[in-house]
Amino acid sequence: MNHRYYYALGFAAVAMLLISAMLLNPGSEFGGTDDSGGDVIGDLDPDYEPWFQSLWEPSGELETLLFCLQTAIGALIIGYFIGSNRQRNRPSQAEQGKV
Amino acid sequence: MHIMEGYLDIIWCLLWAALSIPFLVYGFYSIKRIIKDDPGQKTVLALSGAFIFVLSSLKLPSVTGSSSHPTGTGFSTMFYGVGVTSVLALIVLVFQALLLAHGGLTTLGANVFSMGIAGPFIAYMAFKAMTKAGVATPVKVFITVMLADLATYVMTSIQLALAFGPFTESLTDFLAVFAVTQIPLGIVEGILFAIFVDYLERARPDLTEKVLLRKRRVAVEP
Repeated sequence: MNHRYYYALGFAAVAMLLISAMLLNPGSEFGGTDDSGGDVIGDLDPDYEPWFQSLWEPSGELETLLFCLQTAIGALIIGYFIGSNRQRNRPSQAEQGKV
Repeated sequence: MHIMEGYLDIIWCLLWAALSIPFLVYGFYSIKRIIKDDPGQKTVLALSGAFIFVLSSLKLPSVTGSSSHPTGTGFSTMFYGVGVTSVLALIVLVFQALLLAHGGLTTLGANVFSMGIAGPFIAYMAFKAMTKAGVATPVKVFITVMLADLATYVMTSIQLALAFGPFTESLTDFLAVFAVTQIPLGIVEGILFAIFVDYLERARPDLTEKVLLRKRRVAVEP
């Protein structure tokens, strides 16, 4: 079977896992586990005071922007790689066509 | 897996940093050596870092109703092992600590240890064992990547349980938050990398040959 078929199945499975997470928890806020980790600490040791604060904390909108920046840097590199492979493999495909 | 800034007592911060430093030093020199021996590897190194950047920036929803970051460290682990992965994880974690207030500078050592060392270490052991046993590549990639992700969060739970004992009870509490949420996300990450590595084997067998111990395929396209 064509490998693209398996890729499609894989992507469908990923989408299903993520969508089912949303369908199974209607109205959930999907709070981050990092924060819930902090809440657990609060339960275990209510007197605990963080002894150091972040030097700088972005507001909600800025945080979104900077997370996007992080994603974009990575995605750019991956996209460049895939694109350059396409270019690289092109001549050999043309040769195969001639044979 | 980010332990928040200021949430670990200084003694633990120092301990995890001290444990991480040898791996980071080794990883740093490995990267220098890899690039010197084979400049072509720069591409795969960049790719390894890029995956960690992308995946650790995403907060994915889990069936538990909370959301969490995948780690993306499995790819680098398969290609370069624990040392290099710890350096790449450090770069991402510094970015997130300084610009996003995710994790922190005081907890950097602990976070590098879980994401860059413990997770990749477990995954690398499994990868080697599966390679020896001749497990098919997509399955091998899936399991390695999933383990790198899950083991990271188990390590975070252990770190927090050690700092906020009693150990056994609080470990259960932390695992309930971190590890359970992570299971579906580990599966998602595993599938994505199984696809990508399969693509890589087809498109650039020269890059995967050494790692996956496979001979070049000779036109198996249907």
